[in-house]
Amino acid sequence: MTPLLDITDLSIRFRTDDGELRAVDGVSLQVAEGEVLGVVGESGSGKSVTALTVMGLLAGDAAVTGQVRYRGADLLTMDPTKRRALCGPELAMVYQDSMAVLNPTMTVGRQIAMVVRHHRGGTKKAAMERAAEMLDLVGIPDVRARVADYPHQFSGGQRQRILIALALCCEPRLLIADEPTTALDVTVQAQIVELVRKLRSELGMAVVWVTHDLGVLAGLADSVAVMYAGRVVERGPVDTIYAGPRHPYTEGLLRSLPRLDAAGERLTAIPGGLPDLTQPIPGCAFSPRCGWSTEHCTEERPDLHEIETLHASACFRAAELPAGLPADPDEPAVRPVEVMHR
Amino acid sequence: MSSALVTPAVPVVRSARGRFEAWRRFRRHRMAVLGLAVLATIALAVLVGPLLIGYDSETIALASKNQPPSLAHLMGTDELGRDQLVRVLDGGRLTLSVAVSAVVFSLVVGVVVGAVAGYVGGALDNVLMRVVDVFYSLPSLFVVILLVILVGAGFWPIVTAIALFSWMNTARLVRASYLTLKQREFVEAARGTGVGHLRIAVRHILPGALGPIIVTATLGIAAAILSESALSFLGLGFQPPQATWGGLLYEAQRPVVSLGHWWRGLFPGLMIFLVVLSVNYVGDGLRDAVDPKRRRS
Amino acid sequence: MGHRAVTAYVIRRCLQAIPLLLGISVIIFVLLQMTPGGPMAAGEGAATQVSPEQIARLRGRYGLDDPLVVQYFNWLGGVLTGDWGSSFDTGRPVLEAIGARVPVTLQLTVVALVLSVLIAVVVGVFAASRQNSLVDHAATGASFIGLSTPSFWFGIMLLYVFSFQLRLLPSSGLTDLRARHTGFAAVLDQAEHLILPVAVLSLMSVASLTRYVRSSMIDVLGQDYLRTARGSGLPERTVVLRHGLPNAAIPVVTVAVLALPELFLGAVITETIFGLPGMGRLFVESADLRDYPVLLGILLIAAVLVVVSNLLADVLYGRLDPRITYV
Repeated sequence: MTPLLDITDLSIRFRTDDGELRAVDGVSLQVAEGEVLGVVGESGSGKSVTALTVMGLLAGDAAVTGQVRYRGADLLTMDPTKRRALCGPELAMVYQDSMAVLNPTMTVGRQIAMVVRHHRGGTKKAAMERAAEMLDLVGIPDVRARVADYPHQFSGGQRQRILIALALCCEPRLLIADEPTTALDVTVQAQIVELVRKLRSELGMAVVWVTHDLGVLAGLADSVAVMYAGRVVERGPVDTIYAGPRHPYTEGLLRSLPRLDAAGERLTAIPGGLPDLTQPIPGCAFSPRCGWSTEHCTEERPDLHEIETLHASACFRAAELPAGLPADPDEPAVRPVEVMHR
Repeated sequence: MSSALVTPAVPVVRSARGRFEAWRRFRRHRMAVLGLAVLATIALAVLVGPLLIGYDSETIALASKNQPPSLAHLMGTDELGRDQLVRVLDGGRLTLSVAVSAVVFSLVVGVVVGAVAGYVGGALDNVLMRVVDVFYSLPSLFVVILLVILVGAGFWPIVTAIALFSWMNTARLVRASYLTLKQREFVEAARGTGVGHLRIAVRHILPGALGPIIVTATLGIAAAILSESALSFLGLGFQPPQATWGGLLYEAQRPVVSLGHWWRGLFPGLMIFLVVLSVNYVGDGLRDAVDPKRRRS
Repeated sequence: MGHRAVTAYVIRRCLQAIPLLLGISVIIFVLLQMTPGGPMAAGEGAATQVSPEQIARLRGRYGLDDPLVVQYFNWLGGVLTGDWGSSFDTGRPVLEAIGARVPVTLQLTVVALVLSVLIAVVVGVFAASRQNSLVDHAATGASFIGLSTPSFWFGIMLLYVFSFQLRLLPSSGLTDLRARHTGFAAVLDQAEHLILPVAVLSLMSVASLTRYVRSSMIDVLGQDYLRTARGSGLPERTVVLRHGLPNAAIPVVTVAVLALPELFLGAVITETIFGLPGMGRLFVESADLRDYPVLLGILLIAAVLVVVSNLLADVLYGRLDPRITYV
């Protein structure tokens, strides 16, 4: 069966003052119909750029190579008008809320109704009805009165819901959510995750959930892809990865999460930062921050390879990594190193 | 961000390296460099040009009146047979002198008012800024005309009148620079070592405000030229036989429109246009050079 | 927001403008003191020779021996009650003399403003949506050239081409006095007379507004909400015109309103070149005649226009941007 979304060997380069920046470097990802894929990584890992590329929303000066197939058709070579027409009824994106994500001078009702009317036709009144229905669905209280309000009149959490309503108003087959809960407090975060989970089971759509927070994905995602410095370093079913990460970076991410079952255990943040992506990196990009790094790691780049069914890692020492988190919390998995960025 | 720690928090134009950087950025702006070259050429021409031409601007030669441009008279002649090229060059010297003097004058007023307002602050700042508002609200061309006819047209009255209604931008900019710069560490440090207020204001803060001042002054030259030209064009500026570019256009109106002596109007106006266009480009280039954060779009 | 909040805001802004207007009045009063004969001559409405005895009598009558402050308030009271003195030249009350010239200037200014905004929006939006294209560079270059072209030169050269060489358009006046057109022909005739003046007057505002629209639009085009609109599948045209333009227009409306006094000033030049009987021409004529009461009257009107335009721009900005609340 062809996957709904099939990204093959995607590379994205930006020209900057410091030279060419490889934001995404040979990424391959698949999303099946109805699947929820979590894409995890720090900011700058290339996850958001990948998401924008799928939507065709990347600024003009990026050089994109590889393939992004949606239901068999390559989006990168598709006629731009046809591609734009997919947005809405086929592909939709939920952006991280900020004051500028919604048009500040148009009522939220009209912003949604405009999209509905463009894709589905019908009267203005019917489109407005649909907008109200969607806002109600995502849990905006007192919808009748609030369709005529402007974005700034809502709270951050409500605006995030409105963005979801906007993305879902034409019932897309694939929803891409880019850090939709990052700016929100924990309670609202949980509500939004719950909302997407519920809508997903009702509408049967596939979801790509981009986040830097591995914790959000538990109980939401079917599988996870971990990105680092523009590459996928580990991917597999969510439970497998939670139970036994096969890449030191994933392990580090997991160790930095607060765990309910291990109260009192020390939280460890991964020291250091992303390498300079304008400079060539001969070996593994994570090696300067990695406690498992050997000379081999700094000289040759490990490719993503399957270590068990459906589970792949881009680490030479994947097999040596212990199953599960190290028992001894005092044994650091990662060691501090000098900050790489200039 | 960490870059704030890497690059010194010293205003661009202060260090020799900063000045070089600014020049490098300016050079990247091709139109600005071209504009600078045009300005330099025109300045040179109005200064030494009249000496090289075998005519002077007052010699009347009725035998060769109203001639279109030719090799003998590159810009033609007027109804009294005077060589138009020499008149344009002589007029240019006057036009540019008025503009430069007016800008220097308005800079002095603007810098003093802005610095006092920004440095002293409080009620005085408030009052001075309201005065700036009032001057902004007065239509400058009208007031300049009024002042010039009240005092009588002459070099200094015209310069003063123009300067008196063009210092407000400088004052606002200087005030703003002072307000931000006086919070900076090096000023605090200077104050801590017991340096006097005037010294701090002049030696430590003024150089930092220099960037925007230079830009305003440059663009001010264009505005001053247009003011003076408008005044002269209305027949209210310099009186004959002295004629600035605007004055030449005033004289040219009838010959061009009724008699078709196009050269009378084309050349003086072209000079104003070239100078103003060049000044605008140079100003644009300078703005980018002194403020690298402002990206040209 | 309710109407009451808006009304309260407008009233408050008007009150804030009072110190500004007072400041302007002080400056004009100072200028008045500088005029030969001062307020007395202005009140008497004659520039004829007067004997020392008459002057002494008039000084008393006009309170010129009062302290300056008292004189100022007397003068201000007169201005506020419509007593702006009389023209030295014609003896007509200043307000009446100016009033007779308002329609021409108003017509010229309004037509130029509307035209400038229309051209600027079309060209600016087009250039911005094709940033760094040939069209964009051409538009940016043209507006730079427009900003640097002295209007009086442009006017003379236009007259040379269209009136002297091509004989297409009239060179001066508002109507063809010989033809005595009526009805539609009269309208057409007047339009013909307005083409060149409007072109000259609009030059500067078209250039500056185009630059403004372009940069405002480029700013808006980079905003996230346009990406959201694109990501919703709306076609580019809809994205730019329905989501982009209304946002870009908000600051542009403000600038367009502020262009009004600029155009009013520019009318001095335009009306002079084309011999149009407007306020600007009146100002220049009065300057030639040293008719100070009229000059100061026009100056006052122009200054008030600046203040009112600023006020209007502020209020409009608040009306157009729903994020602004009147507190």
